[in-house]
Amino acid sequence: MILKDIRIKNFRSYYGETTFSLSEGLTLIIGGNGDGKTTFFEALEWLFNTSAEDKKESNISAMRKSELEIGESDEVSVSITFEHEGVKELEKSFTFERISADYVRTKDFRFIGYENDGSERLSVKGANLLERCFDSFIRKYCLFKGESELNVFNNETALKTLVDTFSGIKQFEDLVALAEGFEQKSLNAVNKEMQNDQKVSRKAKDLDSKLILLNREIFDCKKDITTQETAISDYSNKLENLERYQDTSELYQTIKERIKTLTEKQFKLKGMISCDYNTNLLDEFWILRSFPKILNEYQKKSSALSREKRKLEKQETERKAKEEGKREAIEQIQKLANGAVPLPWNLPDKETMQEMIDEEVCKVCGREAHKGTVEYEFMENRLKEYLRNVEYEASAKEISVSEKKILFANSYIDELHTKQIQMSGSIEQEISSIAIEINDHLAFINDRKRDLEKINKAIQDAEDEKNRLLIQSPGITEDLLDKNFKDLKGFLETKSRAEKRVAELKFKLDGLIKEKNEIQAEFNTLEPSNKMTKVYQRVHTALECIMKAFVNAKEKNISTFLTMLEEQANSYLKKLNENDFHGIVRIIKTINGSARIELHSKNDDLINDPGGAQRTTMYMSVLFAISKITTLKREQDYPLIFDAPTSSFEVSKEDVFYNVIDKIDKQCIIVTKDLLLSDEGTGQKKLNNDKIQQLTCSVYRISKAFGYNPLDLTTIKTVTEKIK
Amino acid sequence: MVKYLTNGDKILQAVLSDQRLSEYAEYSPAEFETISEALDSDNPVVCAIAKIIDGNQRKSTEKEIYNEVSNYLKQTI
Repeated sequence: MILKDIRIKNFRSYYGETTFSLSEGLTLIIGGNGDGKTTFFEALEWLFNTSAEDKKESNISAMRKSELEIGESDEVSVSITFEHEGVKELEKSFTFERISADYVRTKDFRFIGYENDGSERLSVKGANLLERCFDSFIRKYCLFKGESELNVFNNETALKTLVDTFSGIKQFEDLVALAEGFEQKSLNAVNKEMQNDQKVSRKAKDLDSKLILLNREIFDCKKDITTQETAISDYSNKLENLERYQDTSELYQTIKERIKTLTEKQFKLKGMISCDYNTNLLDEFWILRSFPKILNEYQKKSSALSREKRKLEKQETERKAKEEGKREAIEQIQKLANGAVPLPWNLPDKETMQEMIDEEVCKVCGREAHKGTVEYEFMENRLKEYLRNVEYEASAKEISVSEKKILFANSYIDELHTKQIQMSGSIEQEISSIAIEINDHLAFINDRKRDLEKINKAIQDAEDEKNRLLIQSPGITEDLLDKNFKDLKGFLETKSRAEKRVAELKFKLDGLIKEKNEIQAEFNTLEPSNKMTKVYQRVHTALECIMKAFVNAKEKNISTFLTMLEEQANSYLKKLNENDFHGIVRIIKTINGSARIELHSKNDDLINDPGGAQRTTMYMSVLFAISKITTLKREQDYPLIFDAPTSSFEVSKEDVFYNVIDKIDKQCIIVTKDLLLSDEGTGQKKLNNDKIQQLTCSVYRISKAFGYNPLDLTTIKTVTEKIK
Repeated sequence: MVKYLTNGDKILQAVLSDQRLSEYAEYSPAEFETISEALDSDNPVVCAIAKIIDGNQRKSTEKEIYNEVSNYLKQTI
């Protein structure tokens, strides 16, 4: 089956009809997130699903649905044209009709195939045509979503189905079981006959009871081996899953460890900065922390007061001295020239004096004293002197009062000074040392507070990083990562114990089988007297040989298939990892009848943890190999369709991968967001045309039509552009 | 003309190609390509194998096939 084209109509984001014409080699469908890549893939899944009449409303284009008026209808369809012994078509569709504003009815599900019979075009049941040209078994090896689905041996029946399909031999298991049953029945029959034979009865019974015991032991031993090997297989799967998340797990654990370390530091720092200020205030004399500063201020103020006091005292002394001098001077002036005793300054009084001046006559001597004369001037001076004396007397009286008042009646300033002296010296030194200690302590606490702020920020950053990691790993929970990592050691130990136990049990089983064979051989050598018993013996021997031949043939058939698959897979692995390490694919048969794909190095050492790209190319090689074997064995081809198979590839690996897969003679459709570049200016995605031009394959670009509303699904439609 | 081989024929060939069986039953694997050829064989082991495969294809019960094969072997071996 080779796909010619795919048509998608009104299927989710594919509004109207979109056609993809496919090449017989590689077709790339390139689009960014939400551009319709997975929808393209799921449209094909919907077409190839024959299990149900799926006409669910969610598959209808929201844009088309929103345009429908009540009573109008349209259809959703996905169809393919393909080459398989002539050109054929397959179409799945259903109609949708708007019944009311908020109800759309879906109906008329159809799944029809078309093929040509001569010049006539016949319509047939779609499911039948699909099964005939692309059977359900092959379809299992056709569509792969993401990297995690690429392992084809992820279920127990995979190997058997593959062997049955590709070795061309089916029902081997049934025949082996049949042959084993016949051998056992004939053995029982022989035993029964032998035990009834007169000649060998006793010996036969003895050997038979030994065989019964041995068979029981062998059965138990095989059961134990199966249990242990199932456990090994389970733990291998668990470890494989763990390996898939290993990078995420390791990063998660690193971040978690960092958070743990930081949290411990945070706890310690909190302990360091914790301080009972109330208690320390009195118990640890923290109250004295400001003593040196206060003492210094006290000293300054006390000195200032003392200085001020001395200054005032000096000024007072000077003032007193001046007053004394002035008094002596006045007394000196008041002495008369002729030595006569002058009148007291208060005679005549002020009023009399004024009266004499007004009347221009001296009423002491009775002479006239006109204005402008010496006598008149004398009288005026006498009045002035009177007034001066009155004033002086007043001030002298005042001074006399103040002289009696002491300037610093108390000794407060002296006391302050004495206190200052007392608090200096050893007390000051002692308290200063306490203050220094407290200051150091507080500086230490402040430093630790700054450290704590940094630690808090680092914890927040680590938490953010952890959250980003979880956001970037959809489907993986914190619990899962935590649990897986914790379980890792346990898984490895349990697996190792089981492997050791299996080795012991196999050794024991070998011994038991050897012993059984010896007894059986001894049994076979018994010469019964009864002729018929001898016949039973020969029949059993024949059936035993037949049974062993069936078992060997079945095992050989599987191993031949696995060898062929390995050879083909290694051929593709080499191509897919051109100029890079690729290792050797080994397909190991497991106890549960399935197989496990492993990567080995040249010396056959198992590569336990192949990287993402290595693992993907390993699985893809097996898929290509299966496809190749299909072509060889069944003379039919089928496409391989991958949705984003290279998400773990580095850019350089992507380039090599596409260059190689471009040249592989196999129809491949890959939907991917590789080969897109981000425009530095607009941030929009554009095709990496340089790389695309290097490829010979068909390339489609799918994208959301311009002008959509990010919040409104009814504005989204996928548009396609054929690039080459 | 290329002979079309059924699933049973292929199984027969695979089983008959067992070296120890061919030594025990003294036959040449190349002599028998199809079930019908083996059923016609005088070699009791080859014929018994063909009867097992054929019986299984014909959807006979396990008991029926065993009785047929063991009776055949009792008479011929």
